[in-house]
Amino acid sequence: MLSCILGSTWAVCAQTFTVKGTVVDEKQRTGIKGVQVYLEGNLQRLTTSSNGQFEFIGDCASDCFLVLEKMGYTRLRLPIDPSGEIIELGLIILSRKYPVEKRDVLLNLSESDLNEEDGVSDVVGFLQGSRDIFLNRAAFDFSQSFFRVRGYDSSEGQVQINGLPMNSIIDGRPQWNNWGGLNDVMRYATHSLNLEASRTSFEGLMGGVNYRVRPSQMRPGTRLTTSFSNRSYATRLMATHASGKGEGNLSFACSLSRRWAKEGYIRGTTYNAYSFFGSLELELNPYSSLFALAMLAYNRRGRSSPITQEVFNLAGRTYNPNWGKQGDRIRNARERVISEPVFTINYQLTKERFRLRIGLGYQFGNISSSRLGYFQAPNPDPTYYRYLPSFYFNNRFGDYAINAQKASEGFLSGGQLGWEKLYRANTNNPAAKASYITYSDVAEGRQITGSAIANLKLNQLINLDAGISYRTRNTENFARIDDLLGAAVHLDIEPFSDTQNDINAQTEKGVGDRFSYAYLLEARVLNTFIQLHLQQKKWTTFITAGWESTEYQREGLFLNARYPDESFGQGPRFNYAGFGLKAGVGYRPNARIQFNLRAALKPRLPTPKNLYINPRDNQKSLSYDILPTARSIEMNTLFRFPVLTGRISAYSTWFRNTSEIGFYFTDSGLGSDFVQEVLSGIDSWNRGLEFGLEFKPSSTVSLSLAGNIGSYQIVNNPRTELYFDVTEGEQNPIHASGEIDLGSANLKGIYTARGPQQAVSFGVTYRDPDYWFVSATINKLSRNFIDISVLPRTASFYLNPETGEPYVEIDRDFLEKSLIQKPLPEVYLFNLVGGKSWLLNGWYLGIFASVNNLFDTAFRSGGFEQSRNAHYAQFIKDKRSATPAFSPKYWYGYGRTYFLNLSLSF
Amino acid sequence: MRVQWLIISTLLACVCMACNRGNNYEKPMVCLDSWSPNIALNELQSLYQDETTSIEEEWITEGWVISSDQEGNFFGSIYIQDHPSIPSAGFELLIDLPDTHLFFPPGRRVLIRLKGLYIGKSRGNFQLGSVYSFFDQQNVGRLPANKVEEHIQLTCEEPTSIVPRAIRLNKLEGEKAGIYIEIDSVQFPEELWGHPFAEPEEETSRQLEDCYGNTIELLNSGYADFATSILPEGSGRVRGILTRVGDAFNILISKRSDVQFSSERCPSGPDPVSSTSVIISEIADPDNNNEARFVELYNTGEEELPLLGWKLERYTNDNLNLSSVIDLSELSIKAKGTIVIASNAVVFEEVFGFTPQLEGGKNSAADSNGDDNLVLRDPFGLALDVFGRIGEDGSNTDHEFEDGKAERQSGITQGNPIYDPSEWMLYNDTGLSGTLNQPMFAPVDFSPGGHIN
Repeated sequence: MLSCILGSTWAVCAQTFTVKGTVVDEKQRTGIKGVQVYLEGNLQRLTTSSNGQFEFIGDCASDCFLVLEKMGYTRLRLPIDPSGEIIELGLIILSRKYPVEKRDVLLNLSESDLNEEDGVSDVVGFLQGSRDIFLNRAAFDFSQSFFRVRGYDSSEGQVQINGLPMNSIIDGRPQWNNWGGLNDVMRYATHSLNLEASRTSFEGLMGGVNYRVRPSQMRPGTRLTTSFSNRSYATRLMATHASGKGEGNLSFACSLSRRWAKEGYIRGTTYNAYSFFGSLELELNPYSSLFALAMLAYNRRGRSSPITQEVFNLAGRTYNPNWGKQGDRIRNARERVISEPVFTINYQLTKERFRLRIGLGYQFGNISSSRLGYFQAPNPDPTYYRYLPSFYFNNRFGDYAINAQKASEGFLSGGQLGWEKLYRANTNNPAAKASYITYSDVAEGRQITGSAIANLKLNQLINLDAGISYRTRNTENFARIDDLLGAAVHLDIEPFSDTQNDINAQTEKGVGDRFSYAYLLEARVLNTFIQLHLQQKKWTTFITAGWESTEYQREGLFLNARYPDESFGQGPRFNYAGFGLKAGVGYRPNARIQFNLRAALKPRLPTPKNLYINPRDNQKSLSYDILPTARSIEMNTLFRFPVLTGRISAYSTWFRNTSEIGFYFTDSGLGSDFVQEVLSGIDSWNRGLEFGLEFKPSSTVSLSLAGNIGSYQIVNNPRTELYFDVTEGEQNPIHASGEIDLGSANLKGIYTARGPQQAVSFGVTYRDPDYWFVSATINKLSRNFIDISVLPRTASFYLNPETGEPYVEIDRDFLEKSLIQKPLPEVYLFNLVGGKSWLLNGWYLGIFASVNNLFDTAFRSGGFEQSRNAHYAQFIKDKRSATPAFSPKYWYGYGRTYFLNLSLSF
Repeated sequence: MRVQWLIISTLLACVCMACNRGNNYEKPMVCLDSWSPNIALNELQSLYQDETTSIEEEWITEGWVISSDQEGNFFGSIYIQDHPSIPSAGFELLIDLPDTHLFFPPGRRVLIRLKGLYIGKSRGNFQLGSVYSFFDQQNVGRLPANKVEEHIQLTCEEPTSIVPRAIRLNKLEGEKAGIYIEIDSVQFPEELWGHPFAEPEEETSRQLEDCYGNTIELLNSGYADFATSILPEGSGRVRGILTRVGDAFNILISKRSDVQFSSERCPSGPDPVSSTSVIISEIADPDNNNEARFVELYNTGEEELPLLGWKLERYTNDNLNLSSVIDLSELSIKAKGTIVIASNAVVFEEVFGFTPQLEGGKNSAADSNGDDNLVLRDPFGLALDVFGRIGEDGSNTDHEFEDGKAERQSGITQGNPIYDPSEWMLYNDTGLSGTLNQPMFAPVDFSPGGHIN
C-alpha cells in the first residue's frame, strides 16, 4: 500500500513492506532469541522469537535501514530497498561483540582533576564514546598529563542532555560532576567533532556532545558494575536497570552509583560520592513521546594542591598539604562538595523528515569549596615558605644549616595539618575569638533551561536545522563558616586590612553564618542557530549561523568597608551579543577517502568569570569595547582502507581580545598587596597537526599511531592592570585610586599553559577471537608549559618599591635566562589495557583492567610560576639561591595506577 | 529479575549510608601531660659551660610561661621561669613562630624536651632553641616551627598567676635574668615626655628612673602594638621580664598595661641620701596625757641631713605588716640636732611650749601607746634603726613604754636595725624584763628637742 504525504511539494511517498528473516549467532549458528528489530528513525520495534525468526512490517520513504540489536552482539544495520512488498532476508548473522570496550568503562577523569579551577582534564568526559582514534588516545593516554585537545579550554566543548545545554553559565565549562557515576545511562550520545556540523547546536570550537537519555532507547535489562582503582576513588558500585521499549507505552530506567575512597593516589584525597538517576518515558504515539528525568550526583572530595620542587624532594609526588589526622580520621581542609540535582522534561516528535525536540530543565543546588582560614595567627599551611628548609638556607645572616636540617626533619615527621594545634590556639585565644576556622565558598543557585530544536529533511539532499535555547540562573555566592574548631565566635573582619566585611550586621558570627562576602549573580543566556546542510554524491557543504546574547547583573548583599560605594546593592546590568558563522565543504571521491575544509567565526562573549574583577568584594568590571572573538579553520582527511583507517587534520585558531583575571599577594615594584591582576586584549594562536591512524595487518592485531603536534602561543603584548583595596591596615596602597595600569606585559611568544602541546602515542592491540583483548601504548608527552608569572614581564618589575626609582644595576644576562620559558621535561608513559567477556545463559560478564604509567615514571603534569617576587631585587635574589623560596608550584602526575572493572548484565 | 534488582538496590543504599561519616570529627586534646620532668631549670643553668652546646641527654624540664607576644613586643621568643611565685631561673625559648601566645599562653606550665635543643647564653641571658653560626661562632637561634611540638608541650593545668618578684633599682646585681619582676615608684625622665614607646620598626630603649637616681632601660620593639603610644608622665609600677645586657639590665614588657603609672612623680631636688647617724632618741607616751605623745629623732653626725625619702614606720602591737608610715621627706635634721614628731601638734605645743617639726596624727608612729614597734627606714628601703621586735607586742617585754617613755642611752651614735634593749632606757607601768616601773608625766619627765649624746 502506498501512502503519500498529501499536499507536499516534494512528492515523497512512504511505502509499506514486510521484512522477514532469521537471526543466528555467528559461531554457533543457532537462532538468537530476543534480538530487537526496528527501522532506523522509527520507534516501532519487535523482538525475534526463540528460533531467531522475525517478521517486521513497517514503512519508510527512502534511506531505509533495518537495525538488529542485542546486548553482547555487534549491532547490525542493513539497508532495505522498499520497492518490494515482501523482503526475505534469510539468515542474518550477528557476531559477538568484543568485551566492554574501553570507551564503555572510561573512568570519568574529571574525577581526578587536581587543579583548583575545574575544567583542566574534564575534556576526557567529553571524549567518551567517540570512535575517533585520536580522541580515544587523548582520553585514555594523554589525559594523565592534562592534555587539552587543540589547547582549548573546556568551555569550547558544548554539552547537551536531550538537547538542553548543560555548560555552566558562570564560566562556560561543562559540569561533568553533575552526572558523575551515571556512566551507564550517559553512554548514548551523538558527537560532533571540532568544526563539524551538528544537528543540535552551533557547538563550540571543539565540537559538542548531546547525550540522548531516553529510557526507551537504553539497552533493556540490568547491569551491575564493580570497579576498583587507586586513582581518585578506590571502589565504585553501579547498578542500572532499564525497561527498554516494552509492550506498553511506558518505559523507565534508573541507576544508582556509589564511589568512595579513604584516599586516592594522592595522600589525603578523600572521596565520597553517590548518584541517583531515574527517568520515565511515555509514548504518546508511534512518533512522539514525553520523557522526564531526575538525577542527583552528590560528590564530596578532599583536594590536593601543587607543590614546589623542594617539597617534592622532601615528601614525594603523593604529598598533599591540605590534610592532617584528627583522631584516627583523615581530615582534609579543602573539600569540594557538589550537589546539584537536575530535572528535565522533554518532548520529542520524530517523523521521517521532521524531528522536533523540546526540553525544559530545572537545576538547583550548590557547589561549595572549603578551606582553612587564619586570623592573626600563624599560617597553618605546612608548606608555607617560612617553615621549609629553604627559608633557613636563604638566610644571609649566618649559617643556618642545622636549622634547615631540623626543618626537614620536622616536615617529614609532621608535615601535615596539625588540627590539634588549631583547636589549641582557638581555646587559648585571650580575645575569645577564633584564630582558625574552616569555611566554604558556596555557590548556591537555581537555573531554568529551555530549548527547542527542529531538524527538517527538506529533500534527499538538504537538511535544515534550527534551534533556540534560553537559560536563566540566579546564584548566591557567599562564604559560610563550617567549623569554629573549638572557638566560641568568629569576628568577621578582613585580617590584612582590618576592615569590616559586613557593616550592616554584627561582627560576631557562628557556624553556618555567612561571612566575608555575599552577593547574588543573575545571568541569562539566549542561543539560537540555524543551519543548512547539503549532501550530494561526492560533495557536502554546510553553513551555520548563530546568535548569542548574554546578560549579567551582580547584587551585593554585604556592605564592606573597603569598597563602601561599590559593594552593596544592585550593580550595572551588562548585555553582550554576537553573531557567529560556521561553514564547511567536504569532498568524497570514493567511499574510502574524504577531505573537508571548515571554518568558523564566533564571538567569545564575556562570562561572569572574566567580566567581574573581584565580585566578592565589589562590582567592578572589565570594559569590553571590542568583544573577544575566535576564528578557526581546519582541514581534515579521513580515510577508511581495508587495513588502514584514520584521520589527519591541520587546524589553526585565533583568539582575539580575550581577558584573564588572577588573584595573589605580591611584592611588586610599586609596593606589596593582595591584587587582582587583569590581563586584557590578549590575542593567542593555537595551531597544529592532529592525526589518528589504525593499521590492521590481520584480523586480530592492530597498530595505532595518534598524536598532536601543536603550538599554542600568545601573539601580542596584552594590557596589564592591577586592582587592590586602598584601606591602610598593614599594607600601604600601591596607588590611592585602587587600580593601576602597568602598561603592556611582554608576553608575545609565550606558550600558554594548556597541557602537552605535542603528544604522540603508538599502540599495539591484540583482539582474540575468544573475546578477549589486550592493548599496550607508549606515549610521549612534551612541550608542556606551566603558567608564567606576568609581573616580572612588565615595566614595574624594574622599580625599587622603597624609592620608586628603577634599579640601576641589572644583571641582564641572568635575568633574561631566568625569564626564558622552559617546557616541563618530556615524559614517556607506558599504559596497558585488557579485557575479556563471557556470555553465559543470557548473562553477560565483562572484565576490564588498565594499568597506567606501568614504569612508575615521575613527571610533572602542569603548574604555575609564583607571583610573589615581582620586583627585580627580590626576584633575582631568590633565583640565585640554590633553594629558592618562591620557585614554581607543580602538579605531579600519578605513578603506576590501576583500574579494574567488572560488569554483569542480564 | 525484579527481586534481584530490589536486592541490589537495597545493598547499594546500605553502602551509601555506611560510608558517609560526614562532619563528625572527634574534638582533639588541646593539651598534653605525657612527659615527666627530670631536671630543673636552675640545674640546667649550672651545667652550662660558657659555650653554646647541644643537649644530648634525655632531659625533660618544666617552666611557666611569663611572656606574651599578643601585643607584638616579642617575636619568636617565649620566656619561662622555673616557678610561678618563687623563681630561681629563667630562660628565653627561641622558636620561629608568630603568635606564640595562642599556643603557649602566659601563666601556663609547659614541659620541654631538651634533647636536640641547644643551650646558650646571650649577653647574660640563658637561651634555649636551635643553633646558627655567625663567623664560626655558634649562637642559639630560633627552633623551626615544625619542630616546636616535638620539644614543647602545653600541660593541662589551669593557668597560674605568676607572682612578680619585687625588685629595687639600687639592688639589681644579685637578680637573676629571665624572671618576671615588678618595680614600683618609677617614672620616665622629663626629656622623654611626648615620645612614643618605640620608634617605628626600630627597637627603642626608654630609660626608667626611681626617685633616687637609679635607672633601668625599658626595651620596646618598634613593631609592638603599643609602639606609637606616648610614654605616660606620672610614676608607678612596671611589670615585665628582667634581662641582662652585659652588666646592665633591661625590662621587657608584654602589654601596654604592664606599665601602670597612677602616682605622682618623684619630688625634684637633691638626691636622697642614707645615713646611720640618725637614731630614734625618744619615744613618749605620757601617763597624764595621751594626746601629748611624740617621737624624737637625733642626728649624731657632723652634717645636716635632708630626710628626703626617709620614713618612720609603725608596726602596731604584734602586727607583721606595716600599720602606718610617716614620710619624713619634707624635713632636714641638723647636725647634732633633733626632729620632734608629735601625735597632736596643738596639744604638744600647749604641753611642751614649742611647735614640733611634724605632726604624725592618730595611730601614727608618734602616737604609740607603748606596745608597738617602730622602724626608721632610709630612702632605699633599708631599716636603719628599729625599736622593738616586729611581730611581738611590746606589753610586758623589754620594749614596753606604756605610760612612760623609751629613751636612747647616750653614747649610741649609730642606728641599730636589730633591737638591743641595752641601748635604751625604758620606763613603763610594768617594769618587766629589765625595764623600770616608773610612769612618766608630761612635760616634766620628757625632753623633746634635746638629746644628750
